[in-house]
Order: sequence, then C-alpha cells, then structure tokens
Amino acid sequence: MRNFAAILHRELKSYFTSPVAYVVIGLFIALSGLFFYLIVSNFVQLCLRYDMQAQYYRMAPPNLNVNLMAIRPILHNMSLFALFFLPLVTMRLYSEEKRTGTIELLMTSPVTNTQAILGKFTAAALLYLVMLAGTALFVLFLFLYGKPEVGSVLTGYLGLFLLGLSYLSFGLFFSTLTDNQIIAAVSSFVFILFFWAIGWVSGFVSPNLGELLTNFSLIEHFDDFAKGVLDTKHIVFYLSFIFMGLFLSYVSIESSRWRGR
Amino acid sequence: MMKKYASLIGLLGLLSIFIGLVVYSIYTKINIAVGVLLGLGLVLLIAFVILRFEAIKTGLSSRSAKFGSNAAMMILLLLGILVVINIFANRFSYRYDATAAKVFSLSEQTRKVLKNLKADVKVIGFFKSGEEKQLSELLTEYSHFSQRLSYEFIDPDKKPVEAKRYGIKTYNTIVVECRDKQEKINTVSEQELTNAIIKVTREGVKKIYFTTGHGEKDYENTQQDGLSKAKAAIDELNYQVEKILLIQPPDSIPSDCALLIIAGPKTDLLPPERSKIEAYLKRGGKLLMMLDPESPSSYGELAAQYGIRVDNNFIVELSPVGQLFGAGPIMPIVTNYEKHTISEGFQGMMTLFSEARSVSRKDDVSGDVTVTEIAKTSSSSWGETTPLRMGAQVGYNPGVDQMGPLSILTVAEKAAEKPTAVNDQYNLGLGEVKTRLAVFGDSDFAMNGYFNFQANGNLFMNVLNWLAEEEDLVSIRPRDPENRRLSLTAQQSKLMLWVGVILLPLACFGTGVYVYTKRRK
Repeated sequence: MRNFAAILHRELKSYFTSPVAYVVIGLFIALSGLFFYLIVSNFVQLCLRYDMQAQYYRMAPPNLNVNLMAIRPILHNMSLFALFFLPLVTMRLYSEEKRTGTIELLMTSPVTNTQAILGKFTAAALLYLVMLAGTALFVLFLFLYGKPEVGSVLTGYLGLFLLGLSYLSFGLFFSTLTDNQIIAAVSSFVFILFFWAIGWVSGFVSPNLGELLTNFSLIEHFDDFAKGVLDTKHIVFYLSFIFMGLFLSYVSIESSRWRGR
Repeated sequence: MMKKYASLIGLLGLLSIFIGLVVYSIYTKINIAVGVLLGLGLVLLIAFVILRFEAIKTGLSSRSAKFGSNAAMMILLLLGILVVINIFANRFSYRYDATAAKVFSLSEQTRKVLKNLKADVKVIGFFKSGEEKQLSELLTEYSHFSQRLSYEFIDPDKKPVEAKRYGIKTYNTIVVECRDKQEKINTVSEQELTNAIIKVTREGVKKIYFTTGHGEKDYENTQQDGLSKAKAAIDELNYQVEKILLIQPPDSIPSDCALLIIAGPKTDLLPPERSKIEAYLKRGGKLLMMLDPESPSSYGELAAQYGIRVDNNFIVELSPVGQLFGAGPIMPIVTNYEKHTISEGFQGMMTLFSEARSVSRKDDVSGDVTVTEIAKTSSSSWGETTPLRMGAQVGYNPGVDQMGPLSILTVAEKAAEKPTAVNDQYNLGLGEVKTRLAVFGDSDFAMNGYFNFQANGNLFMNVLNWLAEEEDLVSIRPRDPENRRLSLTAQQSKLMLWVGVILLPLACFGTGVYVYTKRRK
C-alpha cells in the first residue's frame, strides 16, 4: 500500500509540475465548454421556437427536456473528446521511464509491478477526474438557470468516468510497449477508436455478428448511461475492459524480464 | 540445399494463405482459387516445419518461448473468463431508469407480455438507414425483458428483395413476426408494438357465434339475402365462425365465445335465452345485433339495458345522394360518422342500408355506460312511425315522427360486472374486461347483395373487430419526458460563455505556466 501511494504521489507530482496536465485539462474544458455552450444555446432557442409555435396554433407546448435534448448530446461529445485527450495522459507513464532508463530503477525497487501499474493508473484516473470536475461547472450553470434531472446527470458522468478508465487502461498498456511517447499515444488512440467504432459496421454484416460487434463497442455501452439508464451489464463490460488493459500492461512489463529487453 | 530456402518457403506459405483468405472474404465462398491457395499455403508451411524442425524445436524449448506461450495462455484464459462473465452479465442484468419520468421504462403491461412470451418473436423494422433510432431505443428496452424477442433493421432501398417478401410499401413499417403470423404497424409506440406482439403470439382462434332459431340470416346461404360474403371476410381475419342455438344446453354461452351475433331475428327471444345473453354480457361478453324494422321487442329491451334505444320506426331518406345509386327513400345512405375507433378512416365513405330503423342513445344513460351513435343519416331524413301498409300515407308528422339525422348504428361500452377468468384467456390478465354491444337498425346491409357495396363490408368488419378484438389489447399511455425547459437571458448566456469557455481554461493554463516557470527557476 505504501509503495502504491509512493508511485501515485510520484506520478501526480510529475503530472502537475509539468505543463502537460494543465494544457490537457484546460483544452478539454475549453472544448467541452464550447460545445456545451453551443448545444445549450440551441436548446434554449428551440424552447422559444416551440413556445411561439404553440401560441400561434393555440396548442399546448410540447414537453422539452434539457437532460435528453441538451445534456445527453453533450455527454456524447465529451466521450469523444476524452478519446482524443486521454492517450496524452497515459502516453508517458511507461514510455518515459523506458526512454530515460528509470525503468531499471523501478524494476529493481521493492515496488511490485502490480503496485506500479495501479499507482500509475490511479494517477491518470485522478487527472481525468479533475478534467470531468472542470466540466461539471457547466452543468452547475444549468441547475442555476433551470431544473435538469439530477439522476441522469449522475449516471452520465459515471458512464463518462468508466469509459475514460477504459481508455486509460489501454493507453497505459500501449505505453508499456514502446519508449516513444508519440507512438504510445497514437497506437492507443487508434486502438480505442477501433473499439469505439466497431459497432458501426453492424449494419453491414449479418445480424448475429453485428450484435456481437456491437457488444464489443465502447460507445454502444455508453448510450444508456448518457440517457439516464443504469444497467449492470454495461458496468461489467467497462470493468472487464479496464481489467483487461491493466492485465495486458502487467504481462507486458513482466515479459520484459525474460524478453531481455 | 532445400534448407537454404526454408524461410522463403515459409513466407510463401503464409502469403498464400493470406491471399486465400482475402479472396475468400471477397467472394464469401470457397471456390477453386481459394481452395488451391489455402492448400498450397498449408503444404508450404508443413514443408517449412519439416525443413526447420530442429530450429523450431530448440526455439520452442527456450526460456523466453516458454514464458511467452505461458503469457499468451494466460491472456487467452482471462479473455475467455471475461467473455463468459459478460455473457452472464448480459443475461442477468439489472436495469435502473434514473430519469424522473421513467421515460425509458416499459409499462407493466408490456413487461408482462414480454415475460410471458412462449414463442420466438421477431421484429423487423423497415427504415431508411439512420432513421431507426427511436425504434431501436424502444426495442433495446423490449429485448431486455425477453430472450425470445429479437429484432433487426432492414433498409428497403438496400434490400428490396426482403422488403418485397414482406410486402413493404412505405418506409417506417414495422413487421412483427411469430411463427407464421405477421402483423404490420406504422407508428413507433410502445402501445402499437406491444399490441402487435400480443396479436401475433395469441394462440388459438377466436370464435364468433351466430345465433339461430329465430329466423336470423344464415352465413351458409350464398343467395342475395345470405351472409356468406360476410363470413368469408370473417374467415380471412382468422376468426372461427359457428352457429349456436341458444335454447339448447349448456346453460351459458360457451366461454370461448369472443362475439355473439344476432343477425336479423324474426321472432322473440325466449326468457331462458334472454337470461343467457344477459349473463354473458354481464361477465364481459360482446354482442352484435342487427335488428330490422318491426323485429320483435325483446331484443330492443336487451339493448335498452345498455343505454341503446331501438326505435320503432323505419327511416325515410330524401337526400339526393341515395338516388344516384337508384336507392329509394327507404334506402338511407350514410355519410356521417361519429369519431370512434370503428369509423376511423371512414370520412367520405358511403354505407347503404335498406329498410332500416333508427337506433339511438337513450336519454337517461347511467354514468358507467358509454353510448356512441356512430353512423348517421342526413338531415333530410326522418323516422316514419306509421306502419308501412297498403295505402298508408308516408310523410313527416311533426311530434310523432323523429326528424333526422338519425343513427343507424349505435354502440355501448361498459366495464364488466363480474369478469370471469374465462375472458382472461384472451386478456393475458391485462386491463379490465369490458362489455361491448353494437346495434344496427338493419340487417340487410351485411347480406351478400349489399356487402360489397361501397363501405358496407368495411363498416361491418370494423364493428366486428372493435367488438371481438381490440378489448384484449392494451392501452399504454405514452411517456413523455418531463418538461424541463431552459431559458437564458443574453447576460446569463454570455456569462456562461465567458466563465466556462474562456476564463476557466485560461486559469488552468495560467496555473500551468506559473508552476512551470517557478520550477524552472
């Protein structure tokens, strides 16, 4: 536990003493914020337009729900932005150690590989939490000016968090494979993108295969969270995905002992 | 000598297999080229293994190969375990709808229907690609409650053969299929979808009984005054038609009776017959009566219990519309229909009656009965009360005769007093059982001579369907998301833009620069 805490501390420190964390967090918030602003403005205009139409035709105005019509698409957008940003968070975790040679120190220290991996992963997860917390400010705006539903906002953020952890665990794995940060970031980005989009082909293959592929798709599992439905199967899927990424990282690190590299 | 080229042979083998697979993926069937490529590849690979046997052997027994295969095994094992866990999680997942209005939760009725599915049901949505989102979302919820429900989407433009096979003529058609039964719907709603599922999964055939013994019209009669055309139409909808002689035992109307039809009786009901029908109605029975003018009074008394008055008259129609078809003044033509499930889509349709009496809503209808006058004659008609006899003067007598428009079809609906488990056979235990009664002031309109005239047959079948079928289908209130609007003033909007999009990220970058420069020093 102490070793884990030491690694976590070291990683967090290296995040926040370099400009990387600030740039990633700042850009993520700015991008999310921009889309947030645009979608919410659109929604506000839509409300106005429907109200005017209803008045004109002397009908009851339709129900418009800010959660479903504004927050849900925003959450989807953020899940995409995270896809671009999170490989930047994980790319240096092992690559840097490999490049500078500190990996030797780590391997010979009393810290086990599991502790090291979990420590690094948790540090990245905490950074991601900060990113999400930054965007929560926008939602706070909505609560100030309207009455969104709390329940579906919370499930949406839970989904975003789990989805992000999935990105991070494989980002970590790809950074164990190479000493080049760029390669680590790009390969994890491509890999995650592949698992993101794999459900899209479902329309072009047989229904059974399509369903199977959809089940492997990262984003398909996210939709329920975004619309405000909590389903244990999606949580299990993300946890499996995360676990798989961490396990592969572990195997990859262990293997460097006998691969002689 | 050969050993020199071993690597090349191995490489060629792999290449051959790869090309073979590519060809296979293009043609999706094993043809000669694929067979040759794969076979050749296999032979080359085997040759490679034989040539390099020693080297492979030492390689596999090396330390790193051992660890490597060990690691690969572990990864595969974990992958297998995770897949199994996920399959179980998919099967036994718990779902919680966190939205305030439970927008994504299905109604109790739908869940019940889905959990009770005993046969596989397939839903096929014929949608233009990209327009199926709403249905897909709904079906996701459906498939959660039953393993027996599967669904797929077909773009009719991309797969015209499939579309033709199902007889699809418009976009956004949903086909619900179970065994050999099919049901098509055109709106995406939980109610429609659930009802379609109920219809296709319903086992057995509903029975419609025609009473006999009182001079009623006969469905076996193929003459002008028979009902054989009506019967053919009924058969088409998978109802089973039978005759029933009420005076015979058993003491009650059979429990499988979905609808009782009394078509143009000439003599009065006997007291035991009448009490049989009354008991049947009380427990949620459905009755269709077609009563010509001057038919016996006991039927009218029966209808009166449900708020329908059968008037003792015959309708004289002077509207010129009927004359176009050579219909005399005693053949009223109906073009006015009250809004009702029965008359949906009937606007502008004509129905022709011959020697009809009016059937109207009683003035003192008790609150729990809903009576609706469906089909009405024109305002230039009246109910002639003077009996039609030789030499009798026909004309409108104010005070005695009733001025039009007059109703020729009137229906009543009431919650059953003592619904029995019998009705549950069709009800799936959903919703309340309702007694339904429809009374026509005429029986001729449905006979062979008139059945295909204009909308006569449609009206008859609509009434029949309303009586016999709809009641076991569920009605589900659509769930709208809660109304949670947002209105922002220009200032609030700008504040949001400044704080969220500009100031907050800038603060973030600023901190970064501060920390970085401080560390540099």
